[in-house]
Amino acid sequence: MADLIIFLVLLASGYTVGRIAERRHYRSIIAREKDMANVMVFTNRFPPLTQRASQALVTGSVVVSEDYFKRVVSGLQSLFGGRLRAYESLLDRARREAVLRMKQEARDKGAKMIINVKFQTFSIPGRNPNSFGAVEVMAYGTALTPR
Amino acid sequence: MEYHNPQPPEGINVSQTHPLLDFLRLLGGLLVIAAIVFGALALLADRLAKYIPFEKELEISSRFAADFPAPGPMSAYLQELADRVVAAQDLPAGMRIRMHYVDSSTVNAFATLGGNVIFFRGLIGKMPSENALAMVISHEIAHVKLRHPISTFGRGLAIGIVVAMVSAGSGSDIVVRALGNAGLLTALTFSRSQESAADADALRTLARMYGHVAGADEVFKLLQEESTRGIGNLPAILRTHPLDQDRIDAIGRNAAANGWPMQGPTQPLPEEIRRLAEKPKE
Amino acid sequence: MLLSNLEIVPGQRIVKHLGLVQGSTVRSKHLGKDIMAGLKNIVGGELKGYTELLQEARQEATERMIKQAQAAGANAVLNIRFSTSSITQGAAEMLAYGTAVVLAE
Repeated sequence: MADLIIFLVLLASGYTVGRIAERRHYRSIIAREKDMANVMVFTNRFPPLTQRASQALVTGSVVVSEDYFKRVVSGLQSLFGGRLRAYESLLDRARREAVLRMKQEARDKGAKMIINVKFQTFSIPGRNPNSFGAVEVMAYGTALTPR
Repeated sequence: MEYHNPQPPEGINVSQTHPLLDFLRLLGGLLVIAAIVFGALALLADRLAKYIPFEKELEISSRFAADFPAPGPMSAYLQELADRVVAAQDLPAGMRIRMHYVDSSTVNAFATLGGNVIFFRGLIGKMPSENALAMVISHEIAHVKLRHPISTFGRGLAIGIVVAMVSAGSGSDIVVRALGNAGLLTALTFSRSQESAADADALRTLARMYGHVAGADEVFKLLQEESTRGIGNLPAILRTHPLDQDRIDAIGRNAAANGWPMQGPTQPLPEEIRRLAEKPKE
Repeated sequence: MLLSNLEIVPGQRIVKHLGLVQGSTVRSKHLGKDIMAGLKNIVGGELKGYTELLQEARQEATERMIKQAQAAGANAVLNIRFSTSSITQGAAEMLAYGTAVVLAE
């Protein structure tokens, strides 16, 4: 009985706090994306030849972990197969955050364009073999500063 | 060549379902499937249990024969009373009942594999008469006669395999633990229909032994008292013993239908037994 | 919508570059397929269930990327790259990203 109560308490707090944190993060992401819209990102490998520019490698990375509610829902979902909706939003946030951090680093260097952007995702396993642990998302590219 | 970076619209890489609804839908689906699977396994185990010969049960139980408490005056008395009950109960050939006694204040008794029945001091101390004790003994012997222990054992095994399969495939330890606990609960106890069947058989035996069924409902009135002193009144569905009032009523109906008188002379427990059973709690 | 992982489209001119577009999805296979895969581990060979899983994931990720490109007004996506990672046991994330461009007709 005590087990069940602890589980429900964790679930409820994971749900409420997680929802609030997620909404807040999304609002911050959307605001910052509007702000950084003038630093452009492309996956092209060749820079536009019309300008002379100095280049630098810029990266942005973030490590995210899920909350208890997402873990339980995804556990149930993975029994039935299909899309794990809880993790989709988590990774979307992580990726956009990584790109924003990369843009910030480029802006600090005075750059207006980042090309050859690539993503790297890898998961850090948790303590028991079945738990999620954490996921690191890294975005990196070459920032071009017009000379 | 122009370079632009228009902002992509929200919601393409995320699904728009409300997480709580999602969760409830998944949980509901899982519970339905679990109920069907566990229910089917229980039915199957019940049907198949009859085909396992009693000798196999004896083989299994002989392996933990060393764990049973040593015989003594109490278990000798219980064995003698049980033999009288067996004479009235129509056991199939080859089935032998062995009574064991545990000196503990727990108010309980149960039947396990191989015809072994265990009684606790606490229960014996509460019995108002030998008739009542005979009723409880007969109830446990009925479980053995109807092969309930082996059926529960098989059910537990089948559920264990299902849980192991789910744990191999699931990505979350929480879900696995929850299913494991649910499975364990199903496997540890006799189902309510099994208890009712044992009640009916025991009543018939009691009537045959004494000519009347006085003492039968006293047992359940006692258990009813015991349980209301416990964790309050759980709703009936959560308790595996059919509500004690239901059992008392069932006994009344059964006795009336078969013409067994509810009143009659009852024999008290032997003096020495009562003394041993009423030792102060440790 | 033209999809390519080349830098250019031979014979066509790029008019506008419209930036990074991404499509991603996280998928898992249901319990039955997982158990089959576990048994397949004994004999070895291709795990058809998981191959399907990743194919479906790639399909979905590509579709979402195309949706983002269409919203930006592009008619081609170049320099496409895929990135896979496993999130938990039995679940995989697939990311497809590229640059949305407008090609001259």
